[in-house]
Amino acid sequence: MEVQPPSLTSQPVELLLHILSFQHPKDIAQWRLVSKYFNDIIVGSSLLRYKLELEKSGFEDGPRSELEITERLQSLVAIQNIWSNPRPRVIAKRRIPILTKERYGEGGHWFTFHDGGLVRQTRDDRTSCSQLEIIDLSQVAEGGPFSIHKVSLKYRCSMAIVDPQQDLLIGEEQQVRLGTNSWVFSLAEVVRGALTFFTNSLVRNRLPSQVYLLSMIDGKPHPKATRGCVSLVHPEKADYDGFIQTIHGPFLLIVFYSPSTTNFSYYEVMHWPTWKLVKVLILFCDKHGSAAHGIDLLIGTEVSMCDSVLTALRVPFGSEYIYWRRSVFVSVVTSCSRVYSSQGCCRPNKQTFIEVWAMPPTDETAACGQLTLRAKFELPKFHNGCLGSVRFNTNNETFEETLLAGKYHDFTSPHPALITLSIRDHNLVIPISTLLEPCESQINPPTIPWSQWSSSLFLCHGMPPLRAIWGYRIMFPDKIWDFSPRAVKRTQLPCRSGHDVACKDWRKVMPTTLSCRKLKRVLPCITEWDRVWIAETASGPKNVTYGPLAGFDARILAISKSTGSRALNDPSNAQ
Amino acid sequence: MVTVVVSDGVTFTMEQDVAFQCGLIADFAGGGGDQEEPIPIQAVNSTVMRKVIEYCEHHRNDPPQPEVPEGTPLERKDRRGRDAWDKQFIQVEQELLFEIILAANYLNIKPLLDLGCSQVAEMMKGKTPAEIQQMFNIVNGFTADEEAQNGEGEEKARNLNS
Repeated sequence: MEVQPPSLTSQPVELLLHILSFQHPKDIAQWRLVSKYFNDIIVGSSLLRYKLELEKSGFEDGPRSELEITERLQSLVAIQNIWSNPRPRVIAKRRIPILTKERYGEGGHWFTFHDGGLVRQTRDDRTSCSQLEIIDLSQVAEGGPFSIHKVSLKYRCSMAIVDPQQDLLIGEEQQVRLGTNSWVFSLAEVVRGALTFFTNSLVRNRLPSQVYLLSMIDGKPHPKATRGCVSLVHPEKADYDGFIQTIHGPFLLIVFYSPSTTNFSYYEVMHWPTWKLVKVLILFCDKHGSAAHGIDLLIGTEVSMCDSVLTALRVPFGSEYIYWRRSVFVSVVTSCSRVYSSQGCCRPNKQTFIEVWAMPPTDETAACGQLTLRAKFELPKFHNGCLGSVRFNTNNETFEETLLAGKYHDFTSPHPALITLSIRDHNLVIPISTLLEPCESQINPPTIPWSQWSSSLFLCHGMPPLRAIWGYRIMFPDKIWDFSPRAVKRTQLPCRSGHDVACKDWRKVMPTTLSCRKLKRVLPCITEWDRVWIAETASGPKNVTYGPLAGFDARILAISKSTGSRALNDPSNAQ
Repeated sequence: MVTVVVSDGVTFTMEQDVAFQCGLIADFAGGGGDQEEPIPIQAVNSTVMRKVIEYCEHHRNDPPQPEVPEGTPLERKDRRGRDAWDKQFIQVEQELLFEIILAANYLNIKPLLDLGCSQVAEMMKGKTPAEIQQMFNIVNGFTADEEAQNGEGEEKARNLNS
């Protein structure tokens, strides 16, 4: 007869394991630290270890897998090893500066997909450079990162080249057998298949205007399988020699979430020129591997992709849907006419800016007259830790929240209200309603006939996150705002009046003038009409005629091709 | 009717469909008619048995659980949804909770076992190791070296969480 009162530790091991199996992997990880006894139990249980490894690696368990847990665990460990040590075929080496260390995973590697290849970047802290290596996809097929054998094959997909205008099949429909990979990794397989298909069709000069991915399961179309899982739009004359820096055309980017690429989408997207990356299509795949939800997301924000998508879908984060995150993949396409968030911000000076976003209202928040906001401010580095505040003033009450530099903060605000964002001595006051205006209403399509656009028309893409599209500099009566990507990245860039910073752009391909033809091509790619400023500078500075700066007496410097790369219209002698 | 005798000598009588939710009693009674002899259940005392019977009576009309094949253990967790009554029912002292779990295990009542275990899991959710140690009065038993490693481990766990 046992007399001691029952406690957790006096429970039989199988009961403890049963209890632990109800826990989220995060909590299981905590339990390993609770006591040596528990640690031993957890390490001894392959189920719990499998769960932990899954959480660590970011994969999702295959619900239909026929393998025993121990075998699945072995496969997972094996795939992790391969991930960390792929054997790259080094096509070329190039050194590029390391922009952000965080995106490199353990071991200083960072994997991305590009143009049909898996690119591995290796960080070298000594030289602060990164070496790029391209891993050939054919090698991937033979047991590279995603291959894992012995697991049931349940997934097959076919792809076709489709003309979206006529909705006709142009190319042959191809069955792409996705190897012997498991359900677990089928998504990666699809990604690989899509990339291979994309590159193959490029090689054959059949530019796919749209690749539709038709998912099939066990030979039958999946009921949820919708067309258009992967969309690509018109890669015109793309330069596909393999490097990020040299790509000029639209491309497909697929992100597979794993520890080494957690923030990849965000960083990569942040540092690529905007005109290439206009739309991100995010697909949520359900457990059966087909796209269950799709969402368009405007890029260019520092909001973590996962967070915003989950917010947008109103999925409670941290619930069982956490596994959804694992099956997100992202494709970037280059035509889009929808913007989800409207934005208001100010830029008191080059190094400090405040940014506030209104999240799309949901039914619930709209019903109680509230609105979710996301705000951030940035300061020069040495001021990190400085606090700002956001204040909401409604008719009868005022409340205030604190902001930490460099971080996004979410708030719920009553609506209507007046928001005041304050940092040091800068204040930005905006009525909340301006954040909510539908973007369509702010679109100011150019009314000038194309033929009248002069060759030095200038487009500026203004509000933070700042990125210039073609033109770079706006002269204000008293100071210069420098919007070049370089200046945004390195605020110490000298910004002398009239000096041509545009040519120092990191892609080194920045044209200084825009022909009507180019403009026609660029304009449809711009989704954020409310934030694009257009000005005419052919015969000297003129006032900005579109966008938020209309009537602001801003002047724009343009560099005319005919007179070389020197500045043409210095404000001092333009008057 | 089925009669059982628990460890402190109390006798319980219940109807067959209530009693047969306990795998153990069902095995004992062997499916045959009314049991003459009371079934001895030595590992359970009367307080716990009362709770168990309360649970069984509430769930007497539930449809039988579909059999979940073993071998796919990861996603099998959500069986019988925890309804409000269940939640209320399992809100008990820690000590009693563990006794119920032990009893459910002994008597082989799967839903009650799952309910109890998920309740314990719920209690431990989001707690730091130190909090758990305090809550359940656990001595960690790590050596100093291991403690130092745990510091790093905790760091990693936190990274995993963020």
